[in-house]
Amino acid sequence: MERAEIFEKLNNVFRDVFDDDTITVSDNTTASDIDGWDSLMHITLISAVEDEFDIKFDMKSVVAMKNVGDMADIIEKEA
Amino acid sequence: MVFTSLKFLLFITAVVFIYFIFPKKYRWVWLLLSSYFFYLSASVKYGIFLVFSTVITYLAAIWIEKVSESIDVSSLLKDERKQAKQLIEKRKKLITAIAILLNFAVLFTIKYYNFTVLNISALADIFGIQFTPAMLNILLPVGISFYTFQVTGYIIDVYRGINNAEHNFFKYALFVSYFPQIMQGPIGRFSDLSQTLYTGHPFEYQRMTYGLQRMMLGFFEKLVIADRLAIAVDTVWPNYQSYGRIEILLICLFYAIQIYADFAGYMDIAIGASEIMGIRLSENFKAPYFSASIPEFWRRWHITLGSWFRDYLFYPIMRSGWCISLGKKLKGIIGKKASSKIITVIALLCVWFFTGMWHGASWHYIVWGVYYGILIILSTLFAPVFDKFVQNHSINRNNPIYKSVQILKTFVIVCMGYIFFRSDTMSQAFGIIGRIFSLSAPLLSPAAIGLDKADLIVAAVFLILLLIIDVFRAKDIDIRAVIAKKALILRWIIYFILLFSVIIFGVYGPEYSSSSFIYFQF
Repeated sequence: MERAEIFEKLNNVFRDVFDDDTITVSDNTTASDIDGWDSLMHITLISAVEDEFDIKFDMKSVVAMKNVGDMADIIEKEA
Repeated sequence: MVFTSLKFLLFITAVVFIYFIFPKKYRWVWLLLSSYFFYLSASVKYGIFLVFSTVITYLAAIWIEKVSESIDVSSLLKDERKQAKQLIEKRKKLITAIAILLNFAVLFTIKYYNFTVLNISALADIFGIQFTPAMLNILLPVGISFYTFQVTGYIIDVYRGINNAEHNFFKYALFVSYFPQIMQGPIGRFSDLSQTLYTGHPFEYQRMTYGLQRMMLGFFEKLVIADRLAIAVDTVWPNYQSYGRIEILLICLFYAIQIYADFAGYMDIAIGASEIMGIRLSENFKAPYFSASIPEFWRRWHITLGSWFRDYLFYPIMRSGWCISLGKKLKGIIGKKASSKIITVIALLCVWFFTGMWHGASWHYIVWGVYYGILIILSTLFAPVFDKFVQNHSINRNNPIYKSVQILKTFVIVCMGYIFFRSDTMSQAFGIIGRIFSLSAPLLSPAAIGLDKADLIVAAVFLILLLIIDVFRAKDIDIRAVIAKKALILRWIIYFILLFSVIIFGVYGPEYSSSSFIYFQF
């Protein structure tokens, strides 16, 4: 899957999970950039991304993911 | 050796001095020797438990690594590879589970055995079965709850592949026993600490002055503020029946300030002492009483414990097979959103039950934990309704008045929680709440609260100072850098005020001994 396509899909997932149509994520987007991205939302987001790309994140990824770029890297490798 | 004792001041001076004259390559060895000296000076007996935890997790981590490397998966066919990976995963999981179980078995026996059997016997009594359980008479080794969590985090991180196992036993032993943090945290992560603990840091003048200033601030928070308010809290709390509503409310406020100044003061001493030697410890507080909500409060209060529970309990529960399959089953009945909410509620209740229990084997701690669990669940469930309300009424969330009200609301909720936390028993906690709401209780009573007018004025003045410092902390501004830019005279006036306020206004017992820190008991 192309990286641009991954980000396009990620934007939709983020907008849906955080209920905010103005969200546009990039490689450097972190939890502090998005209102409400706390540990509870993190798990909801992870499951939504998993469903969208039909992949499974391991616990290392769930915990150690630093930004959306890291997330996209894993998707690129797995999907 | 309490951080605020003269003994500790002598100890830290000697440790720092020798650290910098030791060969750079072996400075960590000096830290290990100092850390064991520090820990064993409390009691040699306790050392056994520390060594046990260290050895078990050290060996388990290396074993996990060996298992991971035992089969070369790249040389296998696709199907075989999958099978081999599953086998490796299974073995790694088993080793991790055994290591965690052994560590927690020690913690459980020492800290929770008596509590558990007493509750079982009380429960059996209800059903007419009477027995007197045998009690264990072991004193809780200091720091056991902290280092057990730290080594558990380490072993799980090795299992998850977040960091490699440390092969040098003595280096690993230092990670577990490093003296500034072993007694009451911050609960460190190996991936952070290993970056800073083993390098022989050169002496830097600015680092030393910053470290000393931070330690001084810690002494100030503990000796001038926390220990002064403790006098009033310790006078009123056990004798709450003799006091009026106003005094009880005042004492709850005092306790909120006391516990913060006590715990954050300890952290400032620990982080400051470490900073002198160039070793960075994790921050544990970020002006928590300026939080606008309870979830935010817990992201700013005892940060390393909160993140421990998040990474090693909350996430694993939420991602566990049984939670996911339960979620799927519920999804068909009540829909996706509701099912995910139910799963979250279960996980949160577990996390907060154990957070309460971590603080001590007593129901009042558990209730305090569950109190936060329920509050966080409610705030999560009602967040959409509340957001809509704010939107419909065009309330500006950035309005300073709105923000202040939120901060005040959060602080009041936190203070109420402390009633359960500080009380020795549940009946005492309810007694205090009853006293606040009782119509017959006098508003003010003549009973003294243990502090005279001068003490209260001193406390109030220094509290304002603490508030100003916290305003800087909330904004992520290092107050030391701000002071460092001021004119030389002004700078030294500030340092001397701080130093002499600790010497003159610090609360000391006989022979300048001071009381121990609240979190020592956990």
